[in-house]
Amino acid sequence: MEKLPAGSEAARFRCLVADDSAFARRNIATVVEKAGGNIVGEAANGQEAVDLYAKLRPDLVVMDITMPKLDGVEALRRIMDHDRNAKVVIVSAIGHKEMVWKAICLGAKSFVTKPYSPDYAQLIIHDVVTGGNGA
Amino acid sequence: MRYEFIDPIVSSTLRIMTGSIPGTERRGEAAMLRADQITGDVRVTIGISGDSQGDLIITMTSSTAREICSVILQRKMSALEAEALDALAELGNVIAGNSVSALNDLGFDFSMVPPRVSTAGTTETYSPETEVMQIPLASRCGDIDMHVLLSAD
Repeated sequence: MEKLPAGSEAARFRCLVADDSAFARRNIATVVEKAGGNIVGEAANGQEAVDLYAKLRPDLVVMDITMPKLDGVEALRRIMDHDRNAKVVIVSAIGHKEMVWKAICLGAKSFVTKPYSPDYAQLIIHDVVTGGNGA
Repeated sequence: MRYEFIDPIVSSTLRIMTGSIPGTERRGEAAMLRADQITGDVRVTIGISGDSQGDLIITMTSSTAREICSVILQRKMSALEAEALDALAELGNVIAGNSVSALNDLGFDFSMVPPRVSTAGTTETYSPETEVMQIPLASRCGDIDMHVLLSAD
């Protein structure tokens, strides 16, 4: 497969962002774009995230936990049930040990606690997309 | 209200507010109020459940809310548009999420629901016996009050 030049549109990873706050989604989008990604879908709740994942099959999902209709933990569970290879990074203000452990056990590749340093989040996202564990 | 819940909430609130609006600090002592004594044009309410049930309510005047949003959104806000209210809700979300995390790291079991923002003209109703602890804060954008309404059991 021909390797595309770095930075070309086709080389950028496709990302779905899920957060009930449009402000938070914009912040995440800025980080994702700096990490080399394009936002291909936005979800305002967990159900939209599950539906959009099935439709778009993004390379990465960045998702909050506290969302209406369906929370991020249950959305993560359903996305992983649908696709065991899904790459999901949780970005949430609820960052206590048990929650982080629960998300990782369900299949999340990494967990970023709000408030986050954009540079740190960018490193985590890049690491997950390129095949690291984002640890 | 169990007072061991208060310090993690206050610490988290101060830490998040100071990160968003440097220099935010406590202004005076915490006070016990009745729910109908809560004031403020703008309220960010986050429901908490688990070892206790209730709300965290962050209140401020409209002008303080506009100043805070101007800092967060990095542009002058002349009115509280939808984008500003959303940014305030997210601020409340981060404060409450960090409070819940701090409580859970101490061995408690709490969860939260997404925040809701209300402006002048909307009211929440609580039973008269609901205890409210008010923690007053001061920032360069204006005064902000954190209210903790948690059931006694």
